[in-house]
Amino acid sequence: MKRLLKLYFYRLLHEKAFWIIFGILGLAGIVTGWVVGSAYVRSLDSHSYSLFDTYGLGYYTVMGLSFNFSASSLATIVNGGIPAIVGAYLQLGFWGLIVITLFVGREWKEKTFRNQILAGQSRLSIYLSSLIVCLVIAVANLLVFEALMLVTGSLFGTPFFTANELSHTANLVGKFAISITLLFLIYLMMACAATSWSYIIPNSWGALGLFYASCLALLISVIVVDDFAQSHLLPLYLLENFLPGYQAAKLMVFDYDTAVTSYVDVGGGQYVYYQAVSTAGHAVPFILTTIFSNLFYAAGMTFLGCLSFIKRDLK
Amino acid sequence: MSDLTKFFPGDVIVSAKHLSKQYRGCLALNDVTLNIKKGQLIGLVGKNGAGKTTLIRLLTGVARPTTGHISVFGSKTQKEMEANLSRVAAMIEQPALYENMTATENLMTACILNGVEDPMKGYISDKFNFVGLPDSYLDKRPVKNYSLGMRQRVGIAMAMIGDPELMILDEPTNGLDPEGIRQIRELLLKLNKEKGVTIIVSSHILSELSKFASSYIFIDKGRFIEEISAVELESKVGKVLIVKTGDNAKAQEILLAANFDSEIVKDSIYIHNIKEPAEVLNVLSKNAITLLGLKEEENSLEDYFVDVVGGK
Repeated sequence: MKRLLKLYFYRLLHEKAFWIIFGILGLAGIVTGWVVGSAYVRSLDSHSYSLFDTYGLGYYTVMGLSFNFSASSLATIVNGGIPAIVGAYLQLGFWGLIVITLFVGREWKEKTFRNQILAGQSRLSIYLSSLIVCLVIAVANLLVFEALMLVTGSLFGTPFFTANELSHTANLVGKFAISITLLFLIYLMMACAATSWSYIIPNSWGALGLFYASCLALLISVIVVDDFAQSHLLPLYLLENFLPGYQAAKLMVFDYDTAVTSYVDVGGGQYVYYQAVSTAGHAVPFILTTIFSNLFYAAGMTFLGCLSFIKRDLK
Repeated sequence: MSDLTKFFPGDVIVSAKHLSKQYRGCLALNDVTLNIKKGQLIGLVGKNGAGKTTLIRLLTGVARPTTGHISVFGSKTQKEMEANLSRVAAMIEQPALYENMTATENLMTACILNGVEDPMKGYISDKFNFVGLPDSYLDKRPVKNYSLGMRQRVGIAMAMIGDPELMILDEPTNGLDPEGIRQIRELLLKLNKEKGVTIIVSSHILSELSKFASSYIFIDKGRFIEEISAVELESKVGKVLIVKTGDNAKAQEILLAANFDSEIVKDSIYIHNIKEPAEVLNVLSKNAITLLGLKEEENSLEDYFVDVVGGK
């Protein structure tokens, strides 16, 4: 596995797409930081925005998302969760997924997995090594964007690395980069392998479509469950908290709830509502639930991916 | 199955027992059992779709058998087989190269995988020299810009990294010009003779195989047909004398008694492994057999292949 990781990082250094997209995201981080910083400077003259709100609003304005949270968790998911996942990943993670698609897809297209098998590497090692490098790609892409955005923003006087920024960055990395990469790699391996799956998703790019479709499916499943949960079915409501789509949506709100302790009206027709689950005193259980459910899904997805790859005939 | 130990004494390095492989209802390989011995240079012979590539994919761990067992260098478990595959190199249909990388970078990836230390200190350039591509070491072009022949040779150079004991090549001369085919043939002979590498080569070009293979495995429609040494094959595919007589049954009886390898095919007698046709004629005339016709033919691996596959 050590040799495989060494090989993959050697390949990554020679993968032009990785460096190009790395550069694009770095540039995007600088531009976003500049826009956020400018908004912050303007806000000092007009409104009494908190620093976090300036960062948050500026950031999400650039991301092209609206954050009109309502008190209803259903509406929160519909209004906040879906745009958050699909929107953020269309603009940020999408680029990371392209690199991963190229990186892993190339192994299939050029049939170089064979060389690794013939070097005595087990299928399990190959899958786990691919996974580690894909995670590094996803996290590195997000981190370069976040870091350059914060550094550029700080030049305008915005606070640098407050708890909120760190929390937000951790959410992006933990929630999106890791869990989504785990899920995506399963699709990618299935899409590339010569199996019946190849009829549904004929190549590595097809995995991207399937991935976004399943993200929406996960969120819709939460909405359906939530609809039942509204009828005071407590077990179902508790179960809902563990669903991946719900977790993703909640964490986007969690950013705000933990940061804005006594703040409702952000002006300009924008409102932020507390979520009962993450108000003071509930933060630890919420975080534990989040960590538990994510570890569970990460382990489950890795297990399924490994199982699928180990049993599979390669091209 | 013939026992190759009589031709090639030594260790069995690959053993396949009752191998079958099914793809969506299609039986690509059906109950194949064979042994590969150290030092052999085996020609894997079969028509398109006979199951050659499937057999190679199973032997190299790229695909899993539906039923049966494969042992590579004495492996007893799947885990042992995976580990022992590090002693095997293969090129299935086309070399598996990273198209965006240079030839040296491609060999570097193989060095990393095989744990070769300090590969840039002569190891990689040695491999390029061995396959006749000394200039590729410093070539900055990605291999996607290489000709087919060069790619095949880079593939073989890559397969040589880690000094494998068994090399499995599926149609290595596909798409090559006659000069390229000759170079690959010489390269394989050199590997077998100088480095002692056991080599399995599948090819459609049987005349080419017959120039270097020390034994042959014939498969057809997914089934093992025959395993035969080049020596044995030579005796079978040498000159054949075809005679027509007034009494073929009696003539064959006389020929067999005189130790001639003969058989009746339709209205003629085929006499194999003939050195002097006059010897046959003398025997027949001494026994008052009327000769109606006589023809001498050079048999070939192709003829033998058609006979063997057609006969089963």
